[in-house]
Amino acid sequence: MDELLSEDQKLLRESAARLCADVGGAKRARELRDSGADIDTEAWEAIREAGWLGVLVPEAKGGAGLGAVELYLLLEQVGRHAVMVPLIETTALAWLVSQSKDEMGLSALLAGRVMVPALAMDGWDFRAGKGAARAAFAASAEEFLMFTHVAGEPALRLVPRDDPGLQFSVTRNVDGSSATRLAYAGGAPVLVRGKEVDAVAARLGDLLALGTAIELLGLCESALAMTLEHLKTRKQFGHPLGSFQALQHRVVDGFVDLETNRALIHRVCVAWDTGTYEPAMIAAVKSRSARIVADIMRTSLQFHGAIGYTDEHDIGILWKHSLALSARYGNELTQSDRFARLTADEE
Amino acid sequence: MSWDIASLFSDDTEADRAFRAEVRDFVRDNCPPELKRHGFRIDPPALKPWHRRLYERGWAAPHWPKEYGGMGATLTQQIILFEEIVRAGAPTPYPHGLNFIGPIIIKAGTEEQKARFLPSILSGEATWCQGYSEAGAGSDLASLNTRAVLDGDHFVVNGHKMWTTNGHYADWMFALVRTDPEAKPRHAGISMLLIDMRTPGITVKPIQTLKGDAEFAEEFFDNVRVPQENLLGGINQGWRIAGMVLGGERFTTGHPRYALVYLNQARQIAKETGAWDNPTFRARLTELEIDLLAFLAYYRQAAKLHGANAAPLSMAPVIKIAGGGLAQRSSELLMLAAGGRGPSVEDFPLQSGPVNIGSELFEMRRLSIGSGTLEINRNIIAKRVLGLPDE
Repeated sequence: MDELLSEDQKLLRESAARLCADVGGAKRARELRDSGADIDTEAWEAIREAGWLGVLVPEAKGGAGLGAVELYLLLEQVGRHAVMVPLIETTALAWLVSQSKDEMGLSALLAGRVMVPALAMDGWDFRAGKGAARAAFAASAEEFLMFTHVAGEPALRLVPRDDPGLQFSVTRNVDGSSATRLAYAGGAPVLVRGKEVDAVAARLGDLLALGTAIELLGLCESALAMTLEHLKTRKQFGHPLGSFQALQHRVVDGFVDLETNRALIHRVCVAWDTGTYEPAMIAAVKSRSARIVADIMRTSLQFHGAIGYTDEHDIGILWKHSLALSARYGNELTQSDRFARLTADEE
Repeated sequence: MSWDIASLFSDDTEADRAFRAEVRDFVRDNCPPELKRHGFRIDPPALKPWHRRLYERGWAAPHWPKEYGGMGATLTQQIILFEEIVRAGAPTPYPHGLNFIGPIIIKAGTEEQKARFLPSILSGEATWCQGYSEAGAGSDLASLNTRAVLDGDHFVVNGHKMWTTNGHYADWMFALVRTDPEAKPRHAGISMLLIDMRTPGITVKPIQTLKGDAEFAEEFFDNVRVPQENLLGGINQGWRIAGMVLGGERFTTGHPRYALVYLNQARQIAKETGAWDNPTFRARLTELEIDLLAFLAYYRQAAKLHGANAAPLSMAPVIKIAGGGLAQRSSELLMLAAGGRGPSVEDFPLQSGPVNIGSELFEMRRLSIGSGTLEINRNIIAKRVLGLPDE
């Protein structure tokens, strides 16, 4: 079911789909994995040129002045074509720093410099880290946004990769992406400090979780399309697999979950743009997206049979990518638990 | 976070909010208290006074065009009206007249038929039932066998209808009958007749449901003579005009209210029984509440699209599959939250009103059976939306 989009938004989706189809795809993701890169630099350059990095940044500050709905239209295609780029990290950080007085790092971010937030080990939140944190894209990142303390006050710092106080060694994920543990003790520039940090960190964590869920949505669309194609063409017992009702109904259930999830994500993006979102909504979005992608991937892999168990087939790389995206910024359990706490209304 | 249908993901404009407040006040002041939060099915005769009040206020048929006494309301207004009625724990009028046959008569009826039938549907004076299913024709409705043969200026009807909600209270039935047994495909030989239930030759037997009340009935037709002018939409046009009803009607039958009410009740019950401190209960509740949030978003978006005539073919079956499943699983959670008291025939007292857990659980079974089973809806998506082949 399509959302009610403006003409501009429809055009944006179409151009995003074209760009991502050109630069991305499961085959490209596999090549990257085998090459050891965690960012597709060619795709990243195309995305920078297309002006996506400043989607949430006001026009007066060099951005596109658009909202979360537009970000959704872009990230959906990034996920659909498994493009390995730090788009949500960059757009979220650019949005964050564009609101600060000195706009530290904004022009570098808009120019495509890779700066990624390092969040708590298992979660979406900066604060729970206790010194150690985890960041995506650490193999390529030039700077890290890290939660630290300055004179007893919480502070977010932008830490350069070569800062001697930064300790990390890059850890690879099954899809070729990275999720790296970092620790920092040093005096890198402070972006935000004091009471503001909590609010800023929470908003940033929410945006990252939302963005990753959108990528998962696109990935689900791709897996479903791939599976439908297989069901229509692969024949057994003299009939296409897709003619068997037992299989039809399982793929329909995946479609229904996907449709409701798309509506949820779109609605929460609208809520973000209108300032009516609640953190519980984001927790719901990330938790449910991770749950649904697991369900859809399970069915998709099963229906592909033996070929789905090979490294050669694209469904496998999609699955692996979904595992990485699901775990990033709070997996299903972390976000469900957060949802439960946020909605507990204890007396 | 507030689990309130009126506010969560709401798209109310200023005017919508004003209308919502107006409806809220009206329901509070006008719905007979004995009909509110009753927990049990209300039979059509007991519902009539409330239907009458809505009718007098001009709100009985929000979706009907004004020229036929409706409100000509937008879909948003229709949903608001519905939401505020159910939010007060008040019943909504039965849909068979107002939502099912009324709109078909408006679209496919003659001027005489409109003048004759619409006023009493609107006022609630006449109770209608839908005569579609038969013992041998459920999901495969087109195989129905009840015959109607033209004899002079009357159809002579013979056969048997079943699973007819309110069949034993109805003044009128809109029935699908076979008028051409040779037709291929089979649904091309079906017509729609409006049958006066007091016609000689009709025997009605109530059927007791799982809930223990007689919600539906079966009807035997033995040479029942139906005047030719009660044929709706032309001979062998029954299947086509029956299809006219689907669409907007889904927004009331598929409303997320069941799940929403049950999950709120499950929270309250769990706090009383101690299930609230059980992590497994909390995990189930969380999963269902997250699914409810997604379904609410889908529902609101579908309503907007439907209002803009842009609803996709998948909308009605998705509402049915996702919404029905969610409501059923939520009613099952009520039973779990109540622990050992769950299966009791007694009501569970709550601040928001007593809940009869068994009744709710039983009633929810109908959501995946009535007006197209879960499986039929999955078939529709598989074949008509996803383009999967026939065997």
